[in-house]
Amino acid sequence: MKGPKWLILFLSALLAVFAVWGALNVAVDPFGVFGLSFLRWDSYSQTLNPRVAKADYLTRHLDEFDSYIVGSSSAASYLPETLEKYGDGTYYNMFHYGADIAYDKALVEWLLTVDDVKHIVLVLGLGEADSVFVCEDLTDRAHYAVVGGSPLGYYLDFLFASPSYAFEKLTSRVRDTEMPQVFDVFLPHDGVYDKRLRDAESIGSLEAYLTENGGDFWKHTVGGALGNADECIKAVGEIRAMCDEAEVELTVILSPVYEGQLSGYTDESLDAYFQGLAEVTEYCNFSISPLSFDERYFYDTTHTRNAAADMVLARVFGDGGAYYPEDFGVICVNGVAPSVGDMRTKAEEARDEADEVTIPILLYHHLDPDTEESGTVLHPNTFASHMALLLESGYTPEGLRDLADYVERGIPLPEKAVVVTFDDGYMSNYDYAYPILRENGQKAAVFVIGSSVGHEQYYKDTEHPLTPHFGEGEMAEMVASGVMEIESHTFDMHQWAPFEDGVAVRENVLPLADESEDEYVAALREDIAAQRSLFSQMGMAEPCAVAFPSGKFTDIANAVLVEEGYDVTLTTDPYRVNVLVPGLPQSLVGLGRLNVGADTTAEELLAYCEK
Amino acid sequence: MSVNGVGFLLFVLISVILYYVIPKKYRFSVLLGCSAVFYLSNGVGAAVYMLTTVVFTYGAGLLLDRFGKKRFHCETAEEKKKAKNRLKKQKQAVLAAALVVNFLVLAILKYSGFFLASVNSIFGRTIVTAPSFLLPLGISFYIFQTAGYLIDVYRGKYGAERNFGKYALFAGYFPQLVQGPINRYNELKDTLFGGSDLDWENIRCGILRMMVGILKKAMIADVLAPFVSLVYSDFGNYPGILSFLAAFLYCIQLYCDFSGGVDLLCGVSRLFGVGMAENFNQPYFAVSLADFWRRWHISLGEWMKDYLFYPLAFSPALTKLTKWSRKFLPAEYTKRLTPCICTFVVFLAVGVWQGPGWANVAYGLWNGFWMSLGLLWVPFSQPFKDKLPSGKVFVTVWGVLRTNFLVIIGRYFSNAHNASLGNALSMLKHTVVSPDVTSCSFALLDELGLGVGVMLRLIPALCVLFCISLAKEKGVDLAQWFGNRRGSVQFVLLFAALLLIVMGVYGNDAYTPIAYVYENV
Repeated sequence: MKGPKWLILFLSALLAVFAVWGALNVAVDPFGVFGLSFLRWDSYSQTLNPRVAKADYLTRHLDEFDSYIVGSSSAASYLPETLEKYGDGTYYNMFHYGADIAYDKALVEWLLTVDDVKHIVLVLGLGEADSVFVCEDLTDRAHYAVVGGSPLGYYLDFLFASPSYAFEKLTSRVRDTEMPQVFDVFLPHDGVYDKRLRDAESIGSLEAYLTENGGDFWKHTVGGALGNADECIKAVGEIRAMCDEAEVELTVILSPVYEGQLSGYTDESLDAYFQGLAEVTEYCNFSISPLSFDERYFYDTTHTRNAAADMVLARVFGDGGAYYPEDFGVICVNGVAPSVGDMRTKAEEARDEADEVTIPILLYHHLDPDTEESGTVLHPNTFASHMALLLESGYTPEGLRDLADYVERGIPLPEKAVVVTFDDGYMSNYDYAYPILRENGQKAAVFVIGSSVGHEQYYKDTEHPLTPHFGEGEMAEMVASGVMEIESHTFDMHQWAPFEDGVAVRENVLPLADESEDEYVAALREDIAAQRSLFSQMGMAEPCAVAFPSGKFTDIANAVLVEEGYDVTLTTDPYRVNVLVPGLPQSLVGLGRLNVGADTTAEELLAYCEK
Repeated sequence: MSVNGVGFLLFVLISVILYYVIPKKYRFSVLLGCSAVFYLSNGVGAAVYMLTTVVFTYGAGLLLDRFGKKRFHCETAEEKKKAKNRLKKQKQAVLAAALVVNFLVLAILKYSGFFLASVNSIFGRTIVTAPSFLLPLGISFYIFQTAGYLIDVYRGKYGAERNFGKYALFAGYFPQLVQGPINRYNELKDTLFGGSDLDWENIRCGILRMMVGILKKAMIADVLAPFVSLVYSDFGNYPGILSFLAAFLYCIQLYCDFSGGVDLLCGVSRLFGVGMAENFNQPYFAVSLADFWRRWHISLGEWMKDYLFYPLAFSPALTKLTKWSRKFLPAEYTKRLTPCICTFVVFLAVGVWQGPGWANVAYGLWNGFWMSLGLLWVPFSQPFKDKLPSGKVFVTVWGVLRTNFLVIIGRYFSNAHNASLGNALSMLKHTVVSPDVTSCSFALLDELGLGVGVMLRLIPALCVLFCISLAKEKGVDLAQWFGNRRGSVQFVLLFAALLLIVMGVYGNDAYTPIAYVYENV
């Protein structure tokens, strides 16, 4: 075929290619804009473009929500479940990428139009006042229903979006697991990030945190102006007016700001911004606080942790049970805002008085007067001498629940607190340790292996003899006395390989060879459920802590345990400095312990405690 | 304006429509205007450099032409001879001045940094700070093309172009600016200035060639580029065998990049009915290095042959040298001495043309050495060759393997990191001393960008390229072959190719086009 006919053939082929292109994007629908896809994956779409995907999600679930959190990624840490604790609304977090006050305003306007809204929480940072957000590609594009514009242009843009988006979604689908990955970091039913892994990371001293994460924190060295402050203030004023007119309760929060970001602006420009906001709305200013000077409350320079947002909400809604620093935040009413200088001075003073504590944790196993002492076996007298030494040296053994109370609720700990723990749940803990501790008025925690509880002769249902483990009666007595806490050493993830049948032996919580991530997570959950069931059958309170068998663990294990409600996880790392940071639950994760064995001298024990 | 973008395709579409709606005699003005827009879109500074060259060579051409047409009215033959000699010297002076100025601009813009850095390194300190010059798009190509034009006018091969607009179009015709080829005035002028009638065959062949060029560049060259670049820049951290693999793959990358670019732009030119010089003829099927250089960058080779090799070969100095050598050497060698020296010089110039850096000089010397040795070797090798059965596959395969081995080794130099001779030699040594074949795993290749996914795309593309090249080598006219298929077959093939081009290249954010290797040569 030649001549003009060939050109028609060529153009037909080109047209067919465009048809395939469009069909691919409609079928795979990576942004979730067409809604026809059998591959609907809200978490993926929200990760790709939260503006479009959340507007779409909300349109489909409008009847489930009546209150909204609005803001840029600085609003990402404000959880609907926390807000629902303090009020009667059912919240959805509409946060989006990029500090964009114009979009926030359009979003509030749209929400007020499409829903019978009760509350709106507008979370601001400094980004909105810094500059105008520029939408650069489809990942920043807003839904036409929210910002106006031609639906045809909107759908055409997504119809002929780069095929790489569709291919990426298809390959991500194959790689997807239950845990969040970079391509599906959202919980679509709440609109917030899925931080199961991120918020189960172990955080200790500031020094250690910066050693590992310092690269995420950049600091401005020269202060400049907030170039978009006037526009931002005006837009906030308009949002206030819209909400007032619609009789919707609006809470405006200026979220905590990291010192390194604050230093990018002059005090004059910050003062003008704070004052300008106060003149158009009541708002809660948390921008400069003791948190500003502690990187552990931030993921990076511009993003606060969920824990920090929880403290903000506790303060805003007056939750006396939760911890937040003294003089945390300023409620700006009647057009009056605090001066930056005053806020900075107060925050720095509070930082200097920061009451974080370092907790040494000792690890014992079996006590036996008739066996030679070793790394895991001590004579009861040795144990008694250790406890006497702690007593003489002024140390107060506390329970793990006390540590959690300190971090989560700010309930103070004794000046020289220490934690004594036992692994495995041997009968000797009941026979020898319990009386000594009771006599001394000291506390301790025992981590029991669920499958071994009450086994005095044999390993599980085998005929292999084992060191006797205490049972339900002993546990009940020890817990009732207030001396011993019973916690988890897993239900059955501390198996003894020589006594086990089968190939897949779990000696610790590490994944088995060839085990997929989802299988691993399922195994962890199954073990946690079994332990919970055991405790429930015995009428015991659910454990709040897990000591990892052999001290081995994974980030996923920590994440699953935290998700399942555990507050504290422990390893056997003697070098890990256990710094407990009030308001930061991550400081209870991955705590280190000193294994006290035959080689541990009294001096070494004291030196560890004093470290 | 990058020729890799959709913008360029739209520009071409508009240019073609404009070209054919305008009366025939003005069509060259459309090409001139489009070329000006194209060049200006790449920066006004570059356009100024180019305009200067155009104006200067245009004037020099007219001057040479004037001398050539001068008639003598002398009384005696003696006077006429003297006048002719005087005129010849004046012409030589004008040509020499024009060429010196032309190449001086190229030398300053392209090589001054390298030259001054070399001076500084000799003294061990900074004697002169190297200035940073703008390197206009395709400067080597238009300087060589205009220089060839001046020499031809000087030789009286054709008269100078009097229309400045037409001359400017000859020098700055946009499809030839990015990658060449280096066109000849007498071969280009008729179709370039005459204005072509709309010929659907030109449109068909032009579009097909553009598609082939785009696919070569995007599906092969740009896929290999990251791996090649990584290994060349950090070869010491990988097994030596990967250095060889990188040099081998660079040969493929460079061919697909260079010939792909030329295919795209020759296709564009064909849309206007303007046929440009061919630059490649399946170079990797060459059975000797000389054969390779007849197939690789043909327009540069032809340029070197006409404007450097022959003038040098017939220069008085080399003529005297040949005569003198007859006293010491057998005739078989003396007749090869001049070609040998000229070949060496030509390849040195080819090496320098590649760009600044001692590695490029070494690349020229490497090729010059083997080519010259090949000439001297003929008396020994010919009897052996005569005994070989002609047309046997294993003879051809042996020739192809041997040639490509030399080409691959040459690429250690021409693509050396920072054009450093030290890097090239170290990489070569690393290949030989630490091949470490056992450390070369799929995981390592994956890490370097040659994972399974990439290979699944690359290997079919290479197979298609091999088949196309083999067919062309066998003399098949692919455009003709394609045109003779049934409509449904053509539709399916066009659909597949367009699918790759539209969804894999132009419409795909994941594809990042890489600048052509010789874009700024």
